[in-house]
Amino acid sequence: MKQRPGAESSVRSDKTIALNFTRAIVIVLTAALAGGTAGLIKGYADVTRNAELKLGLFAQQTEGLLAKYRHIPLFLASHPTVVTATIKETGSVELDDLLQQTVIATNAFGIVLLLEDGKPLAHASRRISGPAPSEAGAEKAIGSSGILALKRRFTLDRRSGKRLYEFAFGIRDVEKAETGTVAVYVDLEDFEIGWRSQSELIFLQADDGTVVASNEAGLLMKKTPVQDAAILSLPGTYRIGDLPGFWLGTNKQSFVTGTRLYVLSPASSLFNYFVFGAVSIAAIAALFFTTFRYLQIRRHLILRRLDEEQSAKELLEQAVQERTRSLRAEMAQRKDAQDRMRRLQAELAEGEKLRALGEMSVTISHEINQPLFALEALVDTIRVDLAADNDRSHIGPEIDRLSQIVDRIGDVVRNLRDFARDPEFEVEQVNLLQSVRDSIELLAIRLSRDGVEVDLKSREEEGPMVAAETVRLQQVIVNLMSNAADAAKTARCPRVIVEVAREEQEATVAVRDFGAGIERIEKIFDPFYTTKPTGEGMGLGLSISARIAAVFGGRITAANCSGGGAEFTLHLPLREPES
Amino acid sequence: MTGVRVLLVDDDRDVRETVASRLRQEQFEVISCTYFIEAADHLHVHFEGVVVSDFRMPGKDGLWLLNHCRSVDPELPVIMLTGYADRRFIIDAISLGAVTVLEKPCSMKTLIAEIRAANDRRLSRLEARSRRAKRQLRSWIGKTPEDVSLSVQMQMIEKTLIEKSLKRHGGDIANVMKELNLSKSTLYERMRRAGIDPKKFR
Repeated sequence: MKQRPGAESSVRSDKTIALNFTRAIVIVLTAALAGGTAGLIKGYADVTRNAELKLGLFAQQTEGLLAKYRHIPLFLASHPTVVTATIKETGSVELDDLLQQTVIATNAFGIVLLLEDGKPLAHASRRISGPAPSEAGAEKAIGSSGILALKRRFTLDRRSGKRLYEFAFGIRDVEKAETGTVAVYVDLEDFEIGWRSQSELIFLQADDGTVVASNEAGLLMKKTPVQDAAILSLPGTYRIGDLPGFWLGTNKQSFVTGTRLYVLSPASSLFNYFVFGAVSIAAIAALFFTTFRYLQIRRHLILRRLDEEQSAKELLEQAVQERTRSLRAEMAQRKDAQDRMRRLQAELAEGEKLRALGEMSVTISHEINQPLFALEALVDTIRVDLAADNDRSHIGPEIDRLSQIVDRIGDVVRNLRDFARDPEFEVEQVNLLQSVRDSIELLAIRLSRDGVEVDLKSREEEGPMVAAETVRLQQVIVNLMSNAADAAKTARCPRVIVEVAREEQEATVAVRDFGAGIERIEKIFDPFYTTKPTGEGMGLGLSISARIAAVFGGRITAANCSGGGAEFTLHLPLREPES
Repeated sequence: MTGVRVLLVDDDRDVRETVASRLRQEQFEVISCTYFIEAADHLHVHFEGVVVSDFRMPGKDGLWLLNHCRSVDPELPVIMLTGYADRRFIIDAISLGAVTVLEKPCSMKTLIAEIRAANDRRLSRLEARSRRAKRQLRSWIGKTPEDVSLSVQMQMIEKTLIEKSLKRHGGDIANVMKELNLSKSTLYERMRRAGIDPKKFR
């Protein structure tokens, strides 16, 4: 038995699928890790670049703002109204207007004018009703060296709690003597306005480490040390004061103010990048893998189906081959049997032929020798009579007898010729009953001589029409009836019953006698088979009749009757006139 | 010398009639029969003549007739005629004691000669048989048969046969019954009438 390839490969494929599942997980995890890492790198780059962009923007803003206010103290310190007021050490409406106008024009938080001894002389504020920033405690702008300089610092307004940036400049008279100080305050919240919408942590750190402005309120006015975390020796990674986690970003120191501006994002924001990268790459990998597996499985299935088809085909082919072989063997056997049978049949037929020939030669020689012998006796009788030379009166009848016997020999020969010749005639419509009547008439003399009575029975007045030929049909009926009469004449009941009947497809003539019946009924139609005394039949009559009936499309059947005697039935196909 | 008697058996009317008429010309006494049944009536142990029979006949054929003749009298002469020469039939017929088998058509001269010869033999055979019987009878009963009546002769023969049989079987009644084909009561009745005592033979 051939191994089926499909079974083995299906086991293998189950293993393959299990293996592939593990492999799929490994591949997806690896893809996720790679994707996450890529996401992290991308995130770091993004965050850093963003931070740099924003840092640039906000640093410029801050610088710009501060630069704008830097000149205001200088302008006021040299203004005659301010100088005059400090010299006189009295305020005036004119001075207040000037200060107020300047506040409005520059959107400064406030302006404070101090005398040389530190007493406040005048002030102006953005909020008219609000307190003056005088209490911020503006300091003298003059350094110990006596050089006039712009003094800048961060300060906290004690009254309003505002974080302020102070620009202070000394005021001098014409003799260059110091008369007072003018201080302009800027609200640091003004810087933060633009930052609040940013997602990054932005703060401005003074040089002492205090955070002076930020979009994160928790850091304000606190000293917040910034350490370089240097994760993986990457630049821009920080730890910020007591804020948790790592931060990514950048910073820049302002050369004007000495402050440092930070723009930072929490390292945890990279998590999204990581997740995004991991998920997307893993998804792509999974998609790829699934597609790959799908194609692989499909290919596998197709291969397996092809395998199965192949093996089914092979099985089928095998079955076909086996069947063909067995059929061939069977055919050979059958042919052998047929040959054997044909041979046997041929032998049988040959034997049968020989037997028939033997029987025929016996019959013919008997049939001819018999009258020849009679002739011999008769001729001898006539010769003796002639030699005796006395009464010659019986010679005449003897010679008549002689010609009768010669006729008999002629009959034998004619019968043989009739038998050998195929009956040739046209089949036409014949009335069967009429034929039977004619036949009885033909036989009338003989029947009365033998003392045989004939009963003709027919259910119909008009007989059935059959396919036959008149003379031949009569020959057959006469044959059947004379056979019956021969049997009847020696029987106790010298009667013959002839019955004409119509069946569904055929018409029949049954001829029944009450004689001895037929000993070997199976041979009754064989040529040269006879039950009659010698000289009364060669055994050809029924055989010839049967052949004639066959030509008409009918047949003759024979049977021994239970009450004694035999019945011969001629069956002929009906041929009714078309009405 | 008496005339020739022929029992002619043939189912063929032409043959039967022509042959009979020819034989009658020879002054033969011819009895024509169509079938065996008819012929059997004429056949007996003293038949003074010759049987001429055809072989092929419907019903009981020539061989049957031959057999029947053998059972009637093994010496009854039978001449068989046959329409065809079947070697087997000829052998059968000769072995059953047919005088000869003639093939039809044979010449009437041959047939007549065969009949005459067979008839002569038959008559002399019958005569010898008759003489022998008379001699035997005389030895048994001490008288010429002509002197006593037939019934007395018969009784004497009967007595002689029973005594011979008893002697042969040592007085065993059963075997005698079997040999003579008599019933027990008949045998005892006959022995009583003839004055035989079976005990004497033991």
